Amino acid sequence: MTRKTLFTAASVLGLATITVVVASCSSVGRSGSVSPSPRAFNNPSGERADTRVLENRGLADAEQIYDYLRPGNEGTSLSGVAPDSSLLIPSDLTLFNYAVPSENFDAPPASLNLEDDLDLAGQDSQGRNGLNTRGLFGGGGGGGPAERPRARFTITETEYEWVTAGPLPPNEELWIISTSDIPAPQPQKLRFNGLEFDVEDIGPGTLVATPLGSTDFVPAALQHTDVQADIAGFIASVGVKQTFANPFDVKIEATYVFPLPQNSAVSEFVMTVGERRIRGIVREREQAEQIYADARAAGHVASLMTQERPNIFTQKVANIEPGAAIDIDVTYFHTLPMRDGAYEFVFPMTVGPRYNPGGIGTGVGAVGRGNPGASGQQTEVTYLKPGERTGHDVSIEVTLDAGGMLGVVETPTHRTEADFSRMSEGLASVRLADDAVIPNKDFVLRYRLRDDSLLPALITHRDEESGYFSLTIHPPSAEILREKSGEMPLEIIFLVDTSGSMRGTPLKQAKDAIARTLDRLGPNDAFQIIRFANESAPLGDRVVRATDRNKRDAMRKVNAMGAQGGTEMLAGVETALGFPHDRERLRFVCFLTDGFIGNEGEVLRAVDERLGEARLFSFGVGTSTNRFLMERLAVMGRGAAAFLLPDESGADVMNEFLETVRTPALANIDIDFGDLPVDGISPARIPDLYAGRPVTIMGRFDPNFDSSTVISVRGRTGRSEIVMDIDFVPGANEHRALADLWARSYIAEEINHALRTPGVNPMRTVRDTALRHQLLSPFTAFIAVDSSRITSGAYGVSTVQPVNVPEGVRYDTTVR
Amino acid sequence: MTHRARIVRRICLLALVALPTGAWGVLHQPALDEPPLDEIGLAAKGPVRFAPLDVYIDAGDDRLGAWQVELAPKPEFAGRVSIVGIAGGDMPFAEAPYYDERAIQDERVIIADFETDGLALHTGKSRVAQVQLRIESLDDPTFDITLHTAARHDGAAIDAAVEAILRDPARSTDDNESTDQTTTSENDG
Repeated sequence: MTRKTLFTAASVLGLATITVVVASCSSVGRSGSVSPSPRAFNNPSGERADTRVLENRGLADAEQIYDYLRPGNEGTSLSGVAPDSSLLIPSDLTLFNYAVPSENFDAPPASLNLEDDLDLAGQDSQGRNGLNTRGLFGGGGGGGPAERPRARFTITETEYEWVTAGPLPPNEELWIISTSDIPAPQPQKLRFNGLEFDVEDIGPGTLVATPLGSTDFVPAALQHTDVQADIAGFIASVGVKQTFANPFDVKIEATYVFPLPQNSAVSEFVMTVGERRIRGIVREREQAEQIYADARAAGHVASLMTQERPNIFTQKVANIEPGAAIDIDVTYFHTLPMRDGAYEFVFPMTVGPRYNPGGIGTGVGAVGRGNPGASGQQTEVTYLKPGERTGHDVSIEVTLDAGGMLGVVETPTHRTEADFSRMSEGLASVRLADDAVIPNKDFVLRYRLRDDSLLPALITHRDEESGYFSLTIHPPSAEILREKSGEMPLEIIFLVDTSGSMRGTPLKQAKDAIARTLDRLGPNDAFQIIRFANESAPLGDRVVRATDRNKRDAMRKVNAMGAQGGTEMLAGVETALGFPHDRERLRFVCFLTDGFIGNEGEVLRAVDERLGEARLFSFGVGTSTNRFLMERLAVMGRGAAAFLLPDESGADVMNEFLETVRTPALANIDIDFGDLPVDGISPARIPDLYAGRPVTIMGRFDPNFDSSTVISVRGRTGRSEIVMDIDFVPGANEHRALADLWARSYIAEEINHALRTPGVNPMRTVRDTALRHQLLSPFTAFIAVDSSRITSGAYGVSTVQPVNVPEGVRYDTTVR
Repeated sequence: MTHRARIVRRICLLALVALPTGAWGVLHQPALDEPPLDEIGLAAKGPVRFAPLDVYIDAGDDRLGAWQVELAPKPEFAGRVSIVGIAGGDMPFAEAPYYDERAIQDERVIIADFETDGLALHTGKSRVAQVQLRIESLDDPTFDITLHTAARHDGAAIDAAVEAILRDPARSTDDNESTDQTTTSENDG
């Protein structure tokens, strides 16, 4: 055994120990010196604040470190398989690794300046002064843990002792593990405007500021969201500026979970720090998360945007210094749906509180401030309590170039100021009358073209790699469809969400909608009503004819319905689609819900598997409906989606629904592209065409195809076939956003395909498509780092932006 | 997206197609204590750090109105340098330039910008962009850099040279060129 005094330790240290673990390492240090490579272990977001993950170590290395740490550290666990094992370790441990020189040595060389490299007298990763370093030391040339000799370091106030059982072999990686001997800090107090606030741990790696007094104002990082939307035809280009600022007296990280339209192609991301604008880069999600974690730990201002659902995103901004402001500019494109002759632009402002069935951990949780992690879900939205609010508000301005004479422009959800002086030119602009609107409900703008004007059916775009097209198929008129097919009696199954989030206006609207629909059913039609909350319950065991008596009985039961409990939507869907069917009638499932669930995938898969001859029409009820679920249910259910806003008449919406379903659809649609070489058609399964509801198809074509051709759309209604020809002219109606819109549509199609097809993993296709087009997706993320400057101190307090529950939704029935 | 932004993006792509790419004549100036590459190898893959790479174009007596630059880490730094953001330079090129979407997947940066207001343009050396980097190496990476396009605001090509300087963020100042890593290249005008 050798024993050597190595150097005089920093006088501030008391008795302390350093742990050194030698682990196999394929990479070697340069001859004659030690490569000082202090590398903080990974700390990906989502881990608990008091633990960290050491990733991607070989199994033997991980086991050895684990063996050492485990006895005194209950927070340590080992998971994964070789060669990418990972360790969960307490966060007060700091790890550094050094490459061992290529020759044997039995003591650290003089060049290993532990005082400087470890910053023993400085701060640890938690920003605490001083370190209590301790532990073991060993080597073994790639052998297992048991074969490795061990050694010990001891630091006194004046000396550093090295004790080892033998020489260390070369080509090893030497791990030094240190812990702080300073007690964990007491909960921080943040000061804002002379007030003092507690910081409460609210979940994985996050803290939130809570007012101590009775004020209902909650200081938070997100100050304002400004939305500038340009609509050309039916394509919207939307710029969203989120302004973050740090109102506290310590450095913070801000996390904000927010919605965007479900078909958004998010293609631009710019972070502004002072006068500097930094364009973000799309990278694989895990890679982007790692870069963000590294940048955060290194003290750089950094931002990360990820997609949790097609309509739910997370924004993180690290190292916002006290008093500093940081803007995030996001740009996205999306197509606007046409419903009953009107195009509809929606900007969602808050995520509704989602219900997650038991056993689901990948959902979207809903928790109140101060109740972190209560949902146990991968994504968690933090809600303001009743009466509270932050300073976050929203301004919106929409510029419309409709491409045809405008008939009507309306904004049913908000008070607006508008310029309608050029409607005949197809131009209009609308802005929120108040620049400081509380973000608690969707902003909706609808416009109709005058008379029967139609936008161009075909839009194209070509770049050096591919051609892209968008083909809108307008259905024949209702008269033609009726003439070709006649009418069939209807069988309508109402599936009504009576969970807690539907309490109040949403459930009342749903009841009105059912009443109106029943009122218009004739005696040859049939119906049944199924409610679901914690479980599903049909009002009868079979469909019944729509006689006056049956309708009265049904409405008596409907009017007695209350709203409470969870949202076991899957059970409701299974009951509705499994209900005995009278084949003499056309079956429509009329699904009334706010869609506030976190297990959308399960529900969509069930619809696809069990749809049979039925068609599912989804009706989003409320101010902030889960439009992704509603739209996707309609696609899977081969029906259509509609939305009942709070001030809208359920009667009108249901009248239009009945008009739609009474008119036979054009079904079994097939598109003949002639000699035009195409691929990537989305949706691959063309939905039925209902009167007043055009369908848009996207695809790619050979960019070298230069001649005109004819695309034929064939479909059947009743026993008749209808053929519609559309001229295809490459270069027609150019729109450069089409490449990104196609990519976004193709990604959705691939994910749909995976939902329908067990065993199919869409990850690679989706990731590659998103990277190629630099789009956000479930498997890619935007990252931006300001590498030009290092902010001072540790990365500070993590704060979550609390948001409003949607208008009309009760906090106490939906939020934990 | 603004009209100007759309034009910039298009110019970037058009210039890429239209101009020869043979200007990879790179002058590499090693840092003072930089060890020979064969001693670095992959073993030198070291701590993660972040640093900005300033991109300068020297237009001499001409006023620089439009430019396109391509840069990539030298092969020996492949896998150890990641692009984590692209910032603008100094006026009139302070806006964050657009990048080529395909090139970025190979850790190559192709960026471009233009300014049509001739009065806002400068002669001499201008910082036109700043590339944000994540570096996993003990040594400062070096880069291949190409100036594909340099032109006046009326589109006339000019002779110019491009230079990239890796800065140390710890110093947090723009006046630290002397000890930072420099990579330069010239175009054919």
